[in-house]
Amino acid sequence: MSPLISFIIKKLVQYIPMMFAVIIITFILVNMAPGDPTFILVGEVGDEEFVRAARARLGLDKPLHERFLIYVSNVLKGDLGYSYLRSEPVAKLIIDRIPATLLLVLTAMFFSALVGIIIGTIAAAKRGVLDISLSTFSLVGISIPYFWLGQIILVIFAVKLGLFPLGGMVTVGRNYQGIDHILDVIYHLVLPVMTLAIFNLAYTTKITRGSVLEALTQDYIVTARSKGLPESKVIFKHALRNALIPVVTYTGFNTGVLLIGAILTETIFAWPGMGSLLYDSIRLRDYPVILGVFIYGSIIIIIANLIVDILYGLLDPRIRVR
Amino acid sequence: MNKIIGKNSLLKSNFLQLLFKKITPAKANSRVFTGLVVVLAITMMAITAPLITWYPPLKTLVGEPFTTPNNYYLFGTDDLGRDIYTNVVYGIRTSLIVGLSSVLIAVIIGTLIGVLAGYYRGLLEDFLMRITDMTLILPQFLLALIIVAIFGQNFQNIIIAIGIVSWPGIARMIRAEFLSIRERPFIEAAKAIGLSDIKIIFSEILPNAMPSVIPYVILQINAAILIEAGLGFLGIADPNVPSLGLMLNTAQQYLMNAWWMAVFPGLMLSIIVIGLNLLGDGLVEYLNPRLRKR
Amino acid sequence: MESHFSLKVINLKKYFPVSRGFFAGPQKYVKAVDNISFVVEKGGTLGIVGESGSGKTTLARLVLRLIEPTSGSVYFDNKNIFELNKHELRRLRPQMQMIFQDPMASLNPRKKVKQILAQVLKLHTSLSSEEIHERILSLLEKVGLSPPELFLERYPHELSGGQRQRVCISRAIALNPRLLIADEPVSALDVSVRGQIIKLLLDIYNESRGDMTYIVISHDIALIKSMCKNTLVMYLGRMVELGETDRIIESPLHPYTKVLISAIPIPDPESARERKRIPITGEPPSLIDPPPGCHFHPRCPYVMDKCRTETPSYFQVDDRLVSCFLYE
Repeated sequence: MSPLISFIIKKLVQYIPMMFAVIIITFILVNMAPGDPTFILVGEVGDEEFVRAARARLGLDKPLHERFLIYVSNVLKGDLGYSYLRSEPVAKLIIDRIPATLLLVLTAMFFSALVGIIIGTIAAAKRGVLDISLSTFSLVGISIPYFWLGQIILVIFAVKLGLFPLGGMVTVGRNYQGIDHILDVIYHLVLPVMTLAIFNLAYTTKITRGSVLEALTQDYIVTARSKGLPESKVIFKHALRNALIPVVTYTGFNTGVLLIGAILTETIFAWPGMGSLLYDSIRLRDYPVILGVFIYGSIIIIIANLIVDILYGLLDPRIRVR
Repeated sequence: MNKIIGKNSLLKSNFLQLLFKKITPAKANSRVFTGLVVVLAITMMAITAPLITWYPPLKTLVGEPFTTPNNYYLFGTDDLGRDIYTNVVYGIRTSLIVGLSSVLIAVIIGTLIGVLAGYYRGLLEDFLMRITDMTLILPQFLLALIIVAIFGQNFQNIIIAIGIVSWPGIARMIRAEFLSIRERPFIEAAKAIGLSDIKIIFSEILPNAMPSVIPYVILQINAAILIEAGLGFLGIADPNVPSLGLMLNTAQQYLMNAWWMAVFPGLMLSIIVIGLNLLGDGLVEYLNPRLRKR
Repeated sequence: MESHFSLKVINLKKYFPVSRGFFAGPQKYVKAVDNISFVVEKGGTLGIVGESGSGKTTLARLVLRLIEPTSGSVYFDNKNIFELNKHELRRLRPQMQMIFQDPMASLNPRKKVKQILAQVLKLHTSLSSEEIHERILSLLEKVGLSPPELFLERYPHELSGGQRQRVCISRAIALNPRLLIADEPVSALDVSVRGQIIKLLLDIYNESRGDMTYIVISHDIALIKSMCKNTLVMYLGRMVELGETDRIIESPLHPYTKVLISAIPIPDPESARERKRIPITGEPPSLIDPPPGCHFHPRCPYVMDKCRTETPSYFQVDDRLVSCFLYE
């Protein structure tokens, strides 16, 4: 077996139990809940007929271990129950929302990484005044809760200045097609991405700066300098390349944080993703959907980590050997 | 110069001595100091909340709804005519209580697991660390959210839920410290004089692990405060307790007209987080010789 | 008759498994201590000498049961310490103490001198806190830290290397142990203070008037000569020679001991010139894959065919034991 394949298998073996853990934790929590788990699994539903049918389907009258097997097999089949309030299966509700959320997360990730790497590298190269303003910026960027930052951005750029729309993903009432549709989405995307990216940018900048600075103290940099290479070349060609691994790793493993960030940001800008769905479900006490968002959110994060882990192994052969 | 600082140290307190004797750049030093001042100021506000506010918290119609900030209502009033300044001050109190108590829970669980894994090793370690890693990868925020959603939105449940999702990092940290400290010769010396395992753990290893763990715990308090605020922002909060996050949730509906409803609670939340970040990050740099050299 | 012995070590072995990947052939071991036996009488002094990596420190840790052996036994006053339970062992601890190689590392950096000593005394005596204070002062005085009040409140990092080792010594002798193992007691110290620490250890030994048994571990046979009546020479986990120190230095029997002795610097250049230096060839072999037969054979000038395959047992020459076929 090639070491790469065995590495990937090893990673899968490591991550798949985590997905089961998510399902098991959910099941335990639901069954530890005070009162009747029906309430959580089916929702606050007045329709007795519906409740009876749902109880039968979920095996709620059966002993715990049978109920567990039914639950696990349902989740594995992608059946997360039915939202009575929205008259739709929970899984469909969530899956429909995932692309919007991912669009937000990935765009923000891309911009924050790009800008963060540039600013971070410059900051490492030109230490001094920039250092202080930068460390202040990253401190503030890291510290400001993004859900509040989003509100402020919304008030300034949409309410006061009127530069961007107040929310949503497309302009309501205009049925844009083709390129116009894409431009319309981008127009709506600016503020939420800005919110999410500022938070992430602070970290990326900080990490880039740190790892470029560290790279600059290495012997090969001293060698490059002593060869007479111009400083810009030393930094961008030699130092940055080696400093990128931690940045990429951070960005990847940070998907979870960014996803949570997106969930909170969406509620501000009425971005029709998982976050808005979660927010509405909390208000409506639509428990099956809340549980579904937890399961899907966790699984997305686990998969993202798995992908980064494997990519990391591809990039850095030393990791594979271990 | 560093030697001079070291030799002339008058600080007798164990921890402070360890902190301030180390070679430290002025920057980290000033960050810790600034952070400490901010955190102390905020703690004072929280403690003296009844003395520095004029209205009972959460009381509706102490003024006209949607009053803009003025001399009587420093931060204005909200949709129900509640005084925002009063609720912000009490909200700080809530944030700090949630941060401290949930992290206390996390520290207890995390220390227990970290100590067991780091000191006793073997299969127990593998098992505990597997669980820790799994919990660590789960989205803390969503996990806390469903725990509160399922068990009921009250203050106590929020604290417990945040505590339950915050322990894995602490457990890993403590285990890592234990792994390195238990190999140091003074532990063998302690064994040689006949100290029991419990005594070795608590009087020899744990105090030496503290300098690395404390800054991390401070950052964890920060994270806990943000989780509470985030939950509140999504509407998962105890309606009977003033909460900065919940205030932002209400403000969301009135952003178009009543900007002050969002600005002040969020600003205060940011200040708390900045203060704790300064303190925690500064301490991390203080105590990490590798970072310190930069 | 039996009670005459203070310390009896029988067939002691410690094999450390070498960690390697799964499915990578049979498990290999580092035989850090391989079948060692010796006896130290009450009030005796034994030096253990060997290169670094020869298993000296592991042997010391086994004798105090700081680690568990692979097999073998250590009798301390006719009790096999490996058969004691945790509680009994802890009660025995004050009677057998150790001084570690690196005094800085073997003191808890977050405890003051006072606390370090009080901890031992509180653990094993029922003295009042005033009595403990008095004891600490006299202990510090005894190890040459005077005035003792000056050192009570200090942390290890506020002491010099020599002072730290004195604190370690005071901790070790705080409860009047009957066995004291000093593991490279001066090698981490400045050359200038080594003499003082050796003298301190000797003074403590002499004051005990035959109650205390010393084991001194060192790579430096000159140090052993100044402190110990008997010497055990180790090579790659095995004992190669055991006998009176003076006799070993005068006329070493084992080829390895000969090499070791010939490396001692002689202060007189005249006689130094006359001495025949025995060249040693080759690197010390790996501990994981030691050579078969006598471990020393690849470097031995007197090597015979037998040495390459068979492990020599111990042969008695006069009052010495030597593990070499030359003396069969």
